[in-house]
Amino acid sequence: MAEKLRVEGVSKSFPSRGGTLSVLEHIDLSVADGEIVVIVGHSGCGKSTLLKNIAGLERPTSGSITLDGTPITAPGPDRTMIFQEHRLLPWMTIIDNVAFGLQGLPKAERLETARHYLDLVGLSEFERAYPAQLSGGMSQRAAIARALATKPEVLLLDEPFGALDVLTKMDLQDEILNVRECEATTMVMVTHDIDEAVYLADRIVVMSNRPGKIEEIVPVELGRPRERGSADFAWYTKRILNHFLKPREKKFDYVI
Amino acid sequence: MRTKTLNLLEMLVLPALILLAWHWSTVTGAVPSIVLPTLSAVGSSIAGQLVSGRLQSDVLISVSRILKGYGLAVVFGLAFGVATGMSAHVDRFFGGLFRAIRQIPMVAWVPLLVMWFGIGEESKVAVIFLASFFQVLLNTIDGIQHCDKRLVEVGKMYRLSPWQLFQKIYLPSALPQIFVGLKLGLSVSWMAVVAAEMIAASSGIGFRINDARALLDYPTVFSGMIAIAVAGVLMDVVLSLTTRACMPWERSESHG
Repeated sequence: MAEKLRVEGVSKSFPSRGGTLSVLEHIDLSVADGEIVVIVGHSGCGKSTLLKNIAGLERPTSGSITLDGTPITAPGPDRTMIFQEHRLLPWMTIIDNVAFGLQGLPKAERLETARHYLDLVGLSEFERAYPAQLSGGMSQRAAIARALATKPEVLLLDEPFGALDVLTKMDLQDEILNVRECEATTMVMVTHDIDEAVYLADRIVVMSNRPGKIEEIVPVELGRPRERGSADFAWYTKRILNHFLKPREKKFDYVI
Repeated sequence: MRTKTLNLLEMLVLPALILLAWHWSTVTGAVPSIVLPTLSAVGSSIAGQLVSGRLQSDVLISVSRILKGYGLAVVFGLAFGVATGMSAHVDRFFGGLFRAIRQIPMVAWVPLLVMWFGIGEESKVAVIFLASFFQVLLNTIDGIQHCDKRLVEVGKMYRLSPWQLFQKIYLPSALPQIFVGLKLGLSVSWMAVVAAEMIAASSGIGFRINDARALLDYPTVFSGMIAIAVAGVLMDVVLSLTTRACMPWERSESHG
């Protein structure tokens, strides 16, 4: 498959008291067109920062990020991001929220596109509702519709289902796979849920903590749909988990 | 419908009890009428003034002063508030001065304003302006500055222009706080106009109260106070209805 997104030697550091705090260190990653790459790591390991850099909301301290060979320097219509919180605008109805990214277009076209994506995530009945009237899962569906409405080539997902209950989460994971089926969108997702990573990813990127470095990239060679209870699934889960289960140091009861 | 009537009755219980106690204590002579005029004396004073048109014209004069002073305060308060809230430069330039001036109680302005503008219209309008301007200003600044930065990030991701960011994100998010300022401003306007009219004026409801006090005409003092309360509540209701109309999303209830 053709390369879509390329992250090359990206480092990011912030000035802090008594020096600089290095958040990302020399990240190299190549994402193919239509691929789902899931990044797992501890919270605070810089995975969200990496996504924000790809989105163009932040700039790397060094290194480059290119999309189809063009360097990313600012937010663009080809990339949208879904956050952990739905971040819908409370003062807009659901349909206006979904149409939010389509500012330049004529109104009729905006609404038509928004309706299409509301339908896709199963929220057609709620287009006149306000976000406060929706449940957490429904709000996150609306946020997905908003992100898809601009027809991005790359969808960036920053722990999008972290705040949802397990059943809603599983529903929305299938929704994401469904989106990939329909729209062939390339996706980069960040999560700390290893099950979610194995269920969704074509490749899993394991990141280490402080500074964030890539420890291993694991291709998930399972067919779809994936069976959460299967032995192969468990094998991958265990393999990823091993990165985070440090061998326990032996503790002594007495020191003589 | 039935609960609505009951709720209304519930609101009327306390005022009714107070009127009853007032009536009983004055009619039986438990409280001398020089301390507290009888309800019927106040009633006939109100009726008499309504028939002669004096009460209406007194209230109208005060209200028109409020509309001028408060109107100016709203225009300037919103304009400066938005500019100060949106721009750190404007905030640094004006912020210190505004914060210092607002510490001066509005009554302390009266002697100076009377010296500058005389006891005519201008000094009243100026007092009302000074009293309500800072309420509107500071609440507007506060509302704009406390806008959720995560929503601003969404706006940036969808590449909104600075004007669109203001119009679609900063302003609606600040509206509840702005209306708090408008409401506080209106209520201090009432206080300011009555105080100013009592200190130095030849017309208006505050003047009427002070004049009646000098003539020991306590029923008129009471009727003036009642007129202020009624007019104040009416203006507050108008503002509350405007608030509701401007923020339809605030009425939506969660059923998630």
